[in-house]
Amino acid sequence: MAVHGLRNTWLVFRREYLERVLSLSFALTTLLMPSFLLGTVLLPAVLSSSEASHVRSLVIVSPDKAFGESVRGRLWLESNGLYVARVETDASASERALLNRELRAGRINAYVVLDRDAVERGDIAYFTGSRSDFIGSGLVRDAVAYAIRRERLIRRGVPAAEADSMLATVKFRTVNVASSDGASGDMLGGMLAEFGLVFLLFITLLSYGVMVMRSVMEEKGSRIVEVLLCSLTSNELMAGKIIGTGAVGLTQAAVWAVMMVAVTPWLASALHVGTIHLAASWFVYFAVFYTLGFLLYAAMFAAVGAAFESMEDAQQWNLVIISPLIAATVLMGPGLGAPDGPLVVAASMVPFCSPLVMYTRIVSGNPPPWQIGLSIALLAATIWLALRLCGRIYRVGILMYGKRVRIGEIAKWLRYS
Amino acid sequence: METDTLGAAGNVAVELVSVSKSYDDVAAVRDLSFSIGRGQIFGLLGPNGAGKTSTLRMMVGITIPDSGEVRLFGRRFDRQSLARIGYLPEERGLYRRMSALGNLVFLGELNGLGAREARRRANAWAERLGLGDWMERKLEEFSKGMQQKVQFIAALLHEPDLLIMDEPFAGLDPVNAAQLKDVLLELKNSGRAILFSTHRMEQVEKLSDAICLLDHGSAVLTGNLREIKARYGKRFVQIEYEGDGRLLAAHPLVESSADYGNYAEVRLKPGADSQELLRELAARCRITRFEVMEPSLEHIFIEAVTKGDGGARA
Repeated sequence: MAVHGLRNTWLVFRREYLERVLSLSFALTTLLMPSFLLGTVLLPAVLSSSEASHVRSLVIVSPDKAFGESVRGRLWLESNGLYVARVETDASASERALLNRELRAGRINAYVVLDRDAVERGDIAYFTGSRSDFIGSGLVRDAVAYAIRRERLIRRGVPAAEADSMLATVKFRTVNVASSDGASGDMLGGMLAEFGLVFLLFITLLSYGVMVMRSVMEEKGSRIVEVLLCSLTSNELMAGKIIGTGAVGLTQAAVWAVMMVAVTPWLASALHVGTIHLAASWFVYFAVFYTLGFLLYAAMFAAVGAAFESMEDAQQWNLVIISPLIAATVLMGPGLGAPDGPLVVAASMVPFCSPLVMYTRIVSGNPPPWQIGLSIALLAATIWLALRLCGRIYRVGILMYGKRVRIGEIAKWLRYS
Repeated sequence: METDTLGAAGNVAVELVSVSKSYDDVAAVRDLSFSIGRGQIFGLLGPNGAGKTSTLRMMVGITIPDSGEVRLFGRRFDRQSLARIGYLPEERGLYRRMSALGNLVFLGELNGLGAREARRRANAWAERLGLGDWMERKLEEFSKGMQQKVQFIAALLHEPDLLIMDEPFAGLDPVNAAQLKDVLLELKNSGRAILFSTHRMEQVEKLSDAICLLDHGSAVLTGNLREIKARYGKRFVQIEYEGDGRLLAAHPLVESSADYGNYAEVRLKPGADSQELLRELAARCRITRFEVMEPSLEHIFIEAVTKGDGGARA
């Protein structure tokens, strides 16, 4: 009997999985969703980076030729040769008027005035034709600051070579000692990767949970459920449906993970964020928390799908179901920034939030193994309870047609043996 | 240990023993008993809401009786026996975005067939029912009648010993209905037990060996159709006439009549002589047809329900 039941569940699973994975909509969402996300994140960055790859022409107005040359050299170095400047020693009003005309005519992109007084006061004016010339103004600011510090050191008797050595650029990288594999990488890049994975988990949990509900409603609406229940039990049907749909989500997430690993180096370079580290354990935990979270939410979505006949009726219950998931997304920010904060730790133990919150803690910090274990154990116990209760609602609900179901009635279904 | 009696002395495919089922405070089925044997076509009849679908659902294990027992093939109900049942529900249901073949193979596998065998049988049935070129198409492209045929094949694919069909002729044109009827008779002759449920009495009348008439969840008539009809006697007369037929309504031999001007259906009072009525009518008008016949099932049903005819129960 048990073998017979397993065969039935396998057949339902196989149908659910293959029908969805081989569908056009699966292929489209699998390809389009990352393209859309990459597009929204990357397009502006790529555009501005391609814009930034054009050689910029600047004028450094400095009566002190040597100081001007120092700034020019530094700017050229820091901009990888993209900012080419010439030094003008004439800081008169007529020269300034001439430069303004050149700027307006687009012959130069910007100029900076470094007269003695401004340098002494440390109050430098940067003239540009663009309101959003952040990169240029930042590079010029750094180059000027460097030259001022260098000059101040030399004035205090430090030899030029020593001054250059003192002001040499420091290479800075973040090393996460809490990470199990002691991975190092860029902090901003790391945050982006962590956010990406947690967001992916949220999207997959939500969309595939809702897919279970729609699938149940479709079977109930088309009445095929009556034919099916003549051959298998409602538990076998529900199990096959949940596992099959869940596996589709896992497949899609796996494809996205491969894409993520593949595009990360390119992404890091396009965003100028240095190395982005992706730990293998993040993907393992993704699979664990997706599976557990999906089982919990899919059981509830299956019950709602069985209890109602129209999406309108089911809508309000959808909101009730997904509210803990939404609450968990609110904690994504704090979870990524401070993974051991008391609220985040507490939420990572609450089964309806824990798939997202504990996963956020795992990718952004290093929660103690006992906390991960406890979170998973509480989640597993809740799944067991949810499957039992939702299974009862499902069993009765899928055969209830034609009348609007009230909450009291659903409570009554739970008592049916 | 209980044994399977289908094919043995009992020949019973399904037996309901004092089965009752309620939903909340509404009794859907009350104390219902009947059995269906091998090679028998059994009609479960009754108006909408009489409890037919509730009865069928208990027979195929979708719901469980509150009291009483459903016995399948001579044994206590168990789910393994369901593999020997084919079920065609009233509300047809298949996966609309799947191909017809995909649907049939999936349902065949659920009923214990291997995929290859299910595919072979599905294609053979499709050829026979004129769906051969359609098997790879999605069901959403099918007409209602074609979907009905696919659903019919799904119920037959695993060659069940008991076929349970809820309103099997609904939505079929006369040609397809005749095709379905031929298949049903063929299955009956091969020893399958067939139950079909309908509110269309004339279909049952033509096909069934035995019937159960349900009203408000209770059986008002159960038994062999010929015996039931014989019990009601030949008191029904169909008359085609030309002339003045007004005397029919008030005639002392007539219990009730429906007069359509040149055609009338008459029910005689118990003990009345039909020949006497014929003589009197012939004296007043020209009679082109005068046929004394058994009551139709519809007449029997109306009489059983309106008079609570417990005496007619088998």
